[in-house]
Amino acid sequence: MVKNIFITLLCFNWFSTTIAQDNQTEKDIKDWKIKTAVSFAPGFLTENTKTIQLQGYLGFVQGKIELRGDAFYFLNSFGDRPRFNMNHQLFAGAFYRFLPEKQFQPYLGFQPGIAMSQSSEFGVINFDTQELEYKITYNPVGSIATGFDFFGEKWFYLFTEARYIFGKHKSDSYPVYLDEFRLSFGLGFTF
Amino acid sequence: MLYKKSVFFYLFLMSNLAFSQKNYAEKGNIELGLRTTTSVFGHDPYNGLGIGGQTRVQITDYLNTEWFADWITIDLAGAGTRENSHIGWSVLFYPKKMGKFIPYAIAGHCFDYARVTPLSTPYLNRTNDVISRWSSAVQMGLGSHYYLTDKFNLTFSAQYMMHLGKQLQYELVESTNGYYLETFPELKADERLESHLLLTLSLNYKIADLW
Repeated sequence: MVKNIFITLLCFNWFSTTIAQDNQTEKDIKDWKIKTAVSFAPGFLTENTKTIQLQGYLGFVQGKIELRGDAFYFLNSFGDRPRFNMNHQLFAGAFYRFLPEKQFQPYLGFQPGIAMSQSSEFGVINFDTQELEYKITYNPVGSIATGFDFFGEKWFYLFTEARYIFGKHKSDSYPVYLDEFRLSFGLGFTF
Repeated sequence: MLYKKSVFFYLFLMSNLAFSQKNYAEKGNIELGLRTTTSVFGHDPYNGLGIGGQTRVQITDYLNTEWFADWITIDLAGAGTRENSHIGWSVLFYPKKMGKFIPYAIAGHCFDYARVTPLSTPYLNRTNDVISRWSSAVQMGLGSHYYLTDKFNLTFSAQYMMHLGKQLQYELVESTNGYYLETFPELKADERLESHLLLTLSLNYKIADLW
């Protein structure tokens, strides 16, 4: 186990130091740059349940700091307990970029956010219509995210990211955890 | 073990002092930030999670002000939801700056809106049992900035917040199926003190240096 971790770290170090050549000039690093990307993001919930989200983000990078807003549009969920009809999310926060001068740029960040969610399980009776209503509510969430960008060309980059989202859907009925592990990867555009 | 930790912490502080020639948190700085907040040890024994934001306007090199708003939701044992919204301001005092690491004492005032919504079910609609109130509060505590760059800092603070206002009349009653949230919207409540601890982590970015 320790050996595997050691080998992984060695590979990571080799990749980041030898393959990733410097391609950012000092001016590039000091200037503000805009990053934007769209991606599909699969998510993993408890009880063998998965979600699919459409992700889009807009980031502003200067040196080692990236200020970034992310939007996730809930497309669908499936598995043993698909618990939401709706779970759109907005995040805004900051990322620390460890190697801003390299092609390969790992980062780590934190983003508070808000979820617009609707349970598919717990409704409340409306006595006038005699129908169950599933209330849409807004709930605070937080997320920790890590990943890397790989700048192959001046305008484009590849990215891979993993994030853990925590929070709870609260409405006028039973609360439901919004906790989710989410992956995303794709192509981004920077200028 | 404690001795080693103390030495490590001291070396960490010294490295901040030695290697960071820049001055951080100077007068005239204007910062914008986002925060995530958790509320603990409040009226109910359940933790809340919230988001918000703040603007900092630094008056002198050792005195800063923070203008904030946040919104916290608390799950009341699955029997209902409590929402707290704060809007207010605080003064931050920096007794000693240690390079990138700047501890501070904080105190201030805010207004608070709280609402409690009991759980409804397919057989029971309790929309009419929702209760709410406005109150005023004071808060004080300790915190620290850590500057990752000359413009960007992470801040953690712990503040004890004390509300003065009409008490929200509700009670969690344990039953065989868990908890039931009893609310008393018709009762005329007394003025009471209510307090809780706010733990806040924020990300802040300097947008201007005005004086």
